Amino acid sequence: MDREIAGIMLSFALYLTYFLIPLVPSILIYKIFPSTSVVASGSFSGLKVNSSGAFAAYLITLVISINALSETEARILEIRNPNEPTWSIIGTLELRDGEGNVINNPLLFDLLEISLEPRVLSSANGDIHFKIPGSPDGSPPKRMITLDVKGFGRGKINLTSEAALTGSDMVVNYQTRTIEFSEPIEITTLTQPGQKYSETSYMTPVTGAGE
Amino acid sequence: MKAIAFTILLLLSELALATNLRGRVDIRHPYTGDLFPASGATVELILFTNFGPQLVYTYFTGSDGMYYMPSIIPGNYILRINGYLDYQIQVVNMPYQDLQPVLMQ
Repeated sequence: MDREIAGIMLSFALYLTYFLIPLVPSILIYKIFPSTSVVASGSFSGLKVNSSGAFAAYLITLVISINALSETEARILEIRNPNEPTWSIIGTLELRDGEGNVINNPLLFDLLEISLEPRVLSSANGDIHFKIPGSPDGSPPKRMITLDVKGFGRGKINLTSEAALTGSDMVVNYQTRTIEFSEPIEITTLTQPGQKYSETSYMTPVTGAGE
Repeated sequence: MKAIAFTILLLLSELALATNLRGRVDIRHPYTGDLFPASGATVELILFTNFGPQLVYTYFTGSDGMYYMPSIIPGNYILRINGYLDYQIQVVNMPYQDLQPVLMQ
């Protein structure tokens, strides 16, 4: 789920909790001990308050809840406004065989997996455009991004050092927090030109084996 | 003493029933049509039981496209390549078994 949406939903749940939790003791007091005199007086948010009975119980619990839930609210705000800004990686992929020839087969992009070390964040096909967390100081993320076309080969985007970020095919825009590649990112097959096989008989795949 | 001997025999009989599987995954070059070993292919060995499919072994092929699965109990399995290509195989009771190569489309 998107962080922003999660943050909004959590905020909504928190405000609902603010409203509902104080209702519990006030209803209980109203139902069970209708004659109990609970009194609340003083100033609350700049207003003079002087109430009694169930409403007083509601007010008292509300004040306690606000203090208890303030830390939770701070955490939700953290989720909505993360400290680590994201950076966009934009580029086009190019498949090459072991001899350096370009391979035009868009079907191979269906097998593409993009992974980040230490963790996987996003995947795309053909033209890539994804966001990854940047460094806390606002500088580009120091990560190695692996582009893996399963069964074909791998390519890497090296962002681990300042030197790597000054590559001629890489345009780093600190304003828009974007790293854009002017040249295709090469994904080279791991097969060696000398490893060609002659035609042989292969196993025949089955369908619906697991059904 | 008898119990220990029985346990040892039981363990040895289990070992005798285990087969070392070996096979190769190829890929056809989409440009030239040549056949190459498929590196980085995911090869899974799946056993279908009464409780549903059970993943027995997973192997990622190297640059030679080969996969190796040691100590596999003989029986009928499904060999799944990259999560979508299924092949029915029979593992027999012998020390080593070479499976027919698999071609990724």
